Amino acid sequence: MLKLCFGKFGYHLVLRDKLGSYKLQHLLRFYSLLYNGHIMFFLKSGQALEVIQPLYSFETSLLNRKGFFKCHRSYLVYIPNVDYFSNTEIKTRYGRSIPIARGYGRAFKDTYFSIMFQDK
Amino acid sequence: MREEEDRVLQFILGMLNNSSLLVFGVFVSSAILSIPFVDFTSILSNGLENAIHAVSRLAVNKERRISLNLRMYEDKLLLSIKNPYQDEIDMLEGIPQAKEKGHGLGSQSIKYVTEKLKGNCQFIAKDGQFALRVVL
Repeated sequence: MLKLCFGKFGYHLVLRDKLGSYKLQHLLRFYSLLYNGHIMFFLKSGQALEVIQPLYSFETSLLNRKGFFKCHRSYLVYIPNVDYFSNTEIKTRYGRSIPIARGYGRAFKDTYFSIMFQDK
Repeated sequence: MREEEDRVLQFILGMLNNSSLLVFGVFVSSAILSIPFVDFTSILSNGLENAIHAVSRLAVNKERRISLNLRMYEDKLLLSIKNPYQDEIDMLEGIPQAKEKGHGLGSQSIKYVTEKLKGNCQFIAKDGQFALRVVL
């Protein structure tokens, strides 16, 4: 079981199994999730962490945090790690392309600028 | 580095001298250095021209204030130009549309140059306040 925790110094993941729990720190480096039966956490370091767990188990807690946006039914993105975007696609700072679903473009743009310019 | 910052400041002050109706807050960042001067000043001049045009059309009793803000968010340069406006603004796909002859290319030019530099821009017209926001 993978549990997402939010600490004073950012995000970290806690991975739990029968033998104990393992804390994966510096999740601030994470920038996107992909759901296709599994979740992939793509980390800034270039690592990809694969978890067999539905996206909705993380979605609510992530979307309640400022900075995350669901741009597609299969993707969440951490906005400060967005390099630039078009109407249909986001390019991350680390070179990955993430689709923007039809109808999400306007909301993504508003959220992106709101976060970058730190609107209250 | 200093020379480039001076060029940008001189450019802004040059625009100020031509208008004589503005109050500015200016923060120039070294991040400008990584952006071609001609492209950056194209965005800046078009944004300021639009703002000057809008405030010059305000009624006499309205405050004619344009605020320019340049700052960094990590390695991104954030530029915002805000001004009050009076006339209604038509937006098409997020871009303001000119109603007068000889106007209307500025906003499109800002969008074109911003996208060329792999950045994004946003135009907001709400409650009598116009804002151009650019991330580069």
